[in-house]
Amino acid sequence: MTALACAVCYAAKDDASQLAFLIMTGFMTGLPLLLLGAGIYWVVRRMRRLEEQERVAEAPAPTAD
Amino acid sequence: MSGKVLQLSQKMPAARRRQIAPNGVIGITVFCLTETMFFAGLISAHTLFRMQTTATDGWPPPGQPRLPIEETALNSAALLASGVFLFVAHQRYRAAASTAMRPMLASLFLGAFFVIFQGVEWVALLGEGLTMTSSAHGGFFYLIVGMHAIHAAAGLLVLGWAYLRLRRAELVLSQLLTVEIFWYFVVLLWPILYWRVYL
Repeated sequence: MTALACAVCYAAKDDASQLAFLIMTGFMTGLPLLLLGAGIYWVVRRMRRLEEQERVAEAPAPTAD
Repeated sequence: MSGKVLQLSQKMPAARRRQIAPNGVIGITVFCLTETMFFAGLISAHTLFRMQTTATDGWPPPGQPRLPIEETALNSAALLASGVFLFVAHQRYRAAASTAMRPMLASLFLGAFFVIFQGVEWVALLGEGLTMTSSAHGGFFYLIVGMHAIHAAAGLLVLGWAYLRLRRAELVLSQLLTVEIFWYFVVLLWPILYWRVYL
């Protein structure tokens, strides 16, 4: 029994097409998560680096003795 | 009560506002991320169509011309080289801005070569009968490659603008970075499109 409203039931009539649907579903689901994750990782890393630079800049200069 | 709150806020250190990157860099990065999803949708639809067609009729579909794989490989190399020259321009800009002009001009010329060669290729394919309406294969080809060509043409315009500013010694690093991110997006997207559409 097939439900023709479903793209996979309607269009994916062979194994290769079904595999393509499966891979592309995973691809389109995972890509935005990957992009968001990469963006958040970059922002956090950049913030830490800026904080580190500020800390070094604010540290008192070592005295001679 | 309000006096206490005021006292507390006066004691607390003011939160620091850090700019993690120039506004242009953040803006173009968000734009490139949305465009990545746009092209991902096109690639996904094309892949599904191709798998179905290959299973039933073979690829390319009957009556449709074979895409020029070898010529486009050469063209792809020109676009990749354009990206490398822009990277070199960035390195030179950091050392001495005036020395970045030559690699940036080379990047511009190679990018222009890519877009013009794509146009020549399209004329040949139209002559062979591959049009937007000849088949879904043609529709996908012109849509995906055409959208990339529009991005490449826009990239050339901003590269040209950056080059002119560099010549007048008005280009600042944040502007160069903004232009670079967009051009790298155009350059790095192309091999994926070439792999999915041509091979």
